[in-house]
Amino acid sequence: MAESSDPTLYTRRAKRGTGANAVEGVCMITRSRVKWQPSDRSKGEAAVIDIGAITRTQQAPGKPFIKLDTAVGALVLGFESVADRDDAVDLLRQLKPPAGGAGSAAGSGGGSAGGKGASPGAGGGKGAAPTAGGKLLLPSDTQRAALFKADPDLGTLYKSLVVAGILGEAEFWSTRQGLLRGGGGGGGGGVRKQRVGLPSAMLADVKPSADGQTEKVHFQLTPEIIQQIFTERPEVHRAFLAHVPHNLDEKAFWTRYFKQQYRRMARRRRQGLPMDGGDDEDEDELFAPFRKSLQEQERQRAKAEVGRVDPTVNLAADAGEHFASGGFGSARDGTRDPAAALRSTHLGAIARDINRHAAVVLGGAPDALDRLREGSTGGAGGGAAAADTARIAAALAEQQTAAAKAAAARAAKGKAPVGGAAAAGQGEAEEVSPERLAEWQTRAASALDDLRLDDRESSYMPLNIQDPRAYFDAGTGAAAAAAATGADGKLAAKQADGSTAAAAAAIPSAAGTAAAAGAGALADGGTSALLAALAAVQPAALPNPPCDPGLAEQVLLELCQDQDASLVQEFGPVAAAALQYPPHDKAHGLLDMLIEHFRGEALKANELLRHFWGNLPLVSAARAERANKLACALQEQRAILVPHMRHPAGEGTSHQVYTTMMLRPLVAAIDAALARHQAEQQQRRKAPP
Amino acid sequence: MRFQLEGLTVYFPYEFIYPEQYQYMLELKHALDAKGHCLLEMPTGTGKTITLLSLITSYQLAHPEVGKLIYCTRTVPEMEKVLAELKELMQYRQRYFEESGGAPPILALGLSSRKNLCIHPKVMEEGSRESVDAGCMRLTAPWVRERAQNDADIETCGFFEGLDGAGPDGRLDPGVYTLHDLRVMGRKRQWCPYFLARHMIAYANVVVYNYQYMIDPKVSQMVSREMERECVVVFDEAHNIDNVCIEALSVNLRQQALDSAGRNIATLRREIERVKETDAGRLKAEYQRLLSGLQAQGALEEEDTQRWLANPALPEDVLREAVPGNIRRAEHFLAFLQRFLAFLRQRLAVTQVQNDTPASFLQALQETVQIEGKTLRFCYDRLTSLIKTLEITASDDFGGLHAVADFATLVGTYSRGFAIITEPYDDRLPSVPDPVIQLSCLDASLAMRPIFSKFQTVVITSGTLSPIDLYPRILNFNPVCIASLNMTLTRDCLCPVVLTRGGDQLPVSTKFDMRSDPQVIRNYGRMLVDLAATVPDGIVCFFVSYLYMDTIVSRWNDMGILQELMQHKLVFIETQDVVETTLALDNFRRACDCGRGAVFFSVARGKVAEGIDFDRHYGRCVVMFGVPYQYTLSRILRARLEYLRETFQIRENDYLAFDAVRQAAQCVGRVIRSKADYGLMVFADKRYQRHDKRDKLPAWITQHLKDSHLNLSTDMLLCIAREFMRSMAQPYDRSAVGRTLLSEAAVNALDTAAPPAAPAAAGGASAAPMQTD
Repeated sequence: MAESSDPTLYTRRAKRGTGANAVEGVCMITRSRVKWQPSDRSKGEAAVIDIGAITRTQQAPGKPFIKLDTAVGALVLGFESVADRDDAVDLLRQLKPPAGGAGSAAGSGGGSAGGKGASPGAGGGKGAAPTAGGKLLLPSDTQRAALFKADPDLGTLYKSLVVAGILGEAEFWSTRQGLLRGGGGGGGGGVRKQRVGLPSAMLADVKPSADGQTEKVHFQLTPEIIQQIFTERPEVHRAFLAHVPHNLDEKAFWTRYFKQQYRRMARRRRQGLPMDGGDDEDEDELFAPFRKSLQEQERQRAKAEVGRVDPTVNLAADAGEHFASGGFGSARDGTRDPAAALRSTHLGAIARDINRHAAVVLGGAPDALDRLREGSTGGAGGGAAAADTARIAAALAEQQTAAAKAAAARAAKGKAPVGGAAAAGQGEAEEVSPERLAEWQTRAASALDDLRLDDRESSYMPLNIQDPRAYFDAGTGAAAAAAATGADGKLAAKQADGSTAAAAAAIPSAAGTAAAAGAGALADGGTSALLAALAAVQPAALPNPPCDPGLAEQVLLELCQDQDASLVQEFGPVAAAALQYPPHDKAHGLLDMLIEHFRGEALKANELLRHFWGNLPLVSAARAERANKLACALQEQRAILVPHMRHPAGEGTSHQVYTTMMLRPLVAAIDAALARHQAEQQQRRKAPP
Repeated sequence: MRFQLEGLTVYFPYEFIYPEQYQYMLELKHALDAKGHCLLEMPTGTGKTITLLSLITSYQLAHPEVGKLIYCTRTVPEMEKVLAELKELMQYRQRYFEESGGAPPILALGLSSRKNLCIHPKVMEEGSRESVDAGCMRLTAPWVRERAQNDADIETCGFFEGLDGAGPDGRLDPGVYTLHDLRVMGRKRQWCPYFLARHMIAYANVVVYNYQYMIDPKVSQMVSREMERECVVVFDEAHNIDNVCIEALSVNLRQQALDSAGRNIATLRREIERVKETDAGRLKAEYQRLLSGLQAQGALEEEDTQRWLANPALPEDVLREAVPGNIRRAEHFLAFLQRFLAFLRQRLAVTQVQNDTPASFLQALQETVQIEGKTLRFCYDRLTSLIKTLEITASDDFGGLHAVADFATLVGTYSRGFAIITEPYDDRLPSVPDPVIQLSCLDASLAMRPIFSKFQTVVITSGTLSPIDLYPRILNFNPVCIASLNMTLTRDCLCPVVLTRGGDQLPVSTKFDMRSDPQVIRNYGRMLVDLAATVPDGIVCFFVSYLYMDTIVSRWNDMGILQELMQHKLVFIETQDVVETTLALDNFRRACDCGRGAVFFSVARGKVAEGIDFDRHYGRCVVMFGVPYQYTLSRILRARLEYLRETFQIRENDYLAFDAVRQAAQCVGRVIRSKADYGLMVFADKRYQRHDKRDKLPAWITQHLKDSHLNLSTDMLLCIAREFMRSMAQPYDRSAVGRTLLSEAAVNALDTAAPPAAPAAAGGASAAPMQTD
């Protein structure tokens, strides 16, 4: 085997399997595989698993076992100690190919300084959109401290932006709502977990399988099915909790349950049309009392829920408009169904089951089962089933009481502000949030959307790249210079307007410096060959290849050799980088402290930019004002960054090249934002609101 | 947009308008100008509601002499929708009045029963409408409040007292109030929302309420009596209006009702004895009042708070004369009721079906218990007066006696247009004895007559009124405008298809002899499973009846089809329990919103088919399983058909097919709410292929029904569905859609181009200067 390219990282003694018939052996973990070899080849076969193929890893708390699930089967290993096991688990976790780019959003520091900077928590939190609740959460002091501790960058950012007064508290946290929400539950920077959905299939309706020879039928139950039965038929759940294992063992319980189900099904099928309506009498006395007690609860719950339903589907309100007693109207005009009342108990059951199932599926998987799955050990073996069911039942019960408590708390809270008069009633106090009301209103009134002027189109700027070269060079100094001349032209008009004069005045100066920097860089290389090369480029009709290859080579040589001979000698690849070849190691040769500084500045600038773009388009005065403030801050930021790009050691030194490489995208982004701001303001002035 | 329509400034809350909406406004304006009634059909999905609201509120603005807009809807959800659109309109209109200091204030509100408006913590918990009414009355009846002033132990309603205490301040500010808004307002100010709304109707510019508040004389006399003649009454979604009218004037009496009536009489007798001992003067005073006629002397003038249902007969039919001597005294009246009840009991004990006209019934009554028709006529008002005199508040306990008195009054009043049918059991369930006496109204025009004569403009409108000439006949009125408008479309966002065969090429139908055939059921099921796999988001299915739906769902369950269906989408089912259905609908919407997709099973003629929209992603496909015929053996239906044939020369089969097809069209129309919306409409029954059915479909469906789509099997249907879904899901070209939209400029140009007298030809809108963005 190709062991040479795949070194073994971990070797420990481990038994395969559990209990008495476990086989002694050795477990080895390489970069891509988990291998187990028996010490005695006669006793067992070696096993090899690709780490990528492992679907789930389970470990028993306190026991040195690990279970690796794959599509083909599971491998259960028992180590000598828990510590060994934990080492293996850690290693596996590292080696496992990442499922989602949890931390990918984090690296924002202008592409510099390695990926370890921002904590994965921050990255995950940014992805989460502000939830529908819409209320802005602000962290408490302790919460904030915890967050800063977990993510020091956040702390510095907070200090440099909020404490410095550039951003408001609410603005700062509004983009980090996910962090706060998740943190509330998990206590400290925990990322909120996405809830698991349920399959739509109706598992609870187990179909029997007959072997064809005997009269027996068999029902198969899995933990998923059991769980679904428990959630969809709460009376079964209650009965299970009450009777198993004190009065009945589990098998007997399920036998009774399925007997009842089977009887019902057989009857329905036999009659085709269940007209006799005597359904309730074959109700097993095991479930009946629970069903009765639950019915009332269900009704209460349904009533409360109906209050929160969109009024345009609220048929229950419509029923309140009609007389319940049958005296008025005609009784048998053919539109009414005479057998409905009889059937409602019996066949309605299917409809009720289906509706209930759909509601449960929509509710999502209860967390209880999830936790169960994580916590459960694979090693329990054959006796697991009974314990599993009990555990499922218990976990569900626990979850339900917790939910009920939460609901009660909510009801109490809802009741409190209403005061004395409503206190007597249920907590029905119109607990519909204004957001939902607004949603209903727009949903009901937005049917004819095509009659509306589609102003979505006008709110975006079309992406129209006429000159790709100019567009992609826009980040460079040359483009900034071009923009600056444009901005200069506009300046005269701007300064007349006193209100934004300060902001406007800042822009041309900054742009001017950028232009100077860019032009300077170019001017230095202004030898005859370069000029000739530039002259050869006709932007309107670029030939392919765009310029004479021979000429290009000449330019390269000239730049690399003649311009700064020492530079090329010392940093061949860096010079190439200056010619826009992708650099291999951007940070080479810069001081760590400087990089750290740049990272901080970049984080800050990115945060500012995010808020700035969040305020566009400037449709209201408030937004315009905020954008102005942010633009000023960006100006300052730019002023901090630009001097770094001109190093005192002089143009063309390695230091300067690296710094420029690192900071240019950021500065370009700032420039783009400022240019846009300028344009927006112009537009705003032109078209009075 | 704001535009001129023959000199009228119309405010319309969108930047564009469909040509048919413009045309609709023109028709409506002509009717308003002519102060006459009108009948308008406009396809579903063209924004009827907002067009109506926009034109009439603009008309009110320009012509202050026009009264309120009374907008009648069939269901509460529809009422909420109308109010939401009105809110939007009012908000939009505001921008045109900014320089002149805000738009003229307008008050619009929805009115519903106490059950929906009550906020009293105990009373609102009551189960039915009747019990909430009674619970309210127990706390707010004048004698209760009078007693409460001396006795602190007697409970009154804080909200009602709050409103009463506010006096003239107890009013609503201008604005648009939904039921929810009213309740919130009530809680905030501690005012009773129900009485506040009732009180504010007099000052409102727009009132939205249920049909029955206008049509049902029992209710409308309490609510709509004071409305002025200049009001504009609109019946939206009025394709079923004849059925509503008939329901309003029909009564049925079961054994249970008669028993309860018997108990009520005993209670009244006890009460009379008690009052005689304590306060005999009260009864004497009542006698004096009755001597000079019921209404003339104000015996029935009562405060809002203790209104019982009003007289079931129509106002002009209630005689203004003295109550006959033999029922003036309370004891005599009770004896009279007792005798009448005995007669009904005897009638109910039949073993065969008995058909009577009012005349023959009265004759039998005269012969058996010597009661004459004229006395019966006063029965209801006499009962109300007695109950009032005895100060009884438990109105819900007196349902039985009320029904009996209703019955008596109606029989005594009308000699034509009614049938009295006594059946010992339902034909569909011959084994279950369930005798019932049914007084069935056969003539829809009876209930509409006073409305047409009282109000100067009545607008009857719906998406499906074809054949449109039928309605003036069965409702017996002369509209000044009748119009059936077409839909202009740039893209075929409707795709009606007729499925005649299943996957195995066997015909599918819900014809009686085929509907329980397992092969048909399986074919239907397979088709639905395949559609669920093809069509994104929501699918709605309509079945011909609850019975059929229950059967087919159960069979699908046994066949495993339901389980297969659930692999693709979640399933929700309408049940007879409204609360459950409401939650199912809400969950259905959530399932569609979150992208999981769902199927909703519903019933034609059911509550969902009547009032719930499945627009946009809530309904990308609708399947009508079968032709929703009424139960044609019903005797009431037979009697009605006979009456229609004799009076209006409408053939029975025509009427039945017409009725079935309008229900089907109504069902499939649920999925289209605008032209940007799209939906596949599957008529799954081979009978739709026939001409007599197809002819009765409204034009907006037939014009999209291609010949190649008339005889499909399941696999062909799937091809079409795939094709349709794919092409419709593309972002549509707005400039192409623009051709069927008129901008403000185009509308104004249209108006100046056309001479004011002749309606502008909006049908030929493509010729007019069109807007493209």
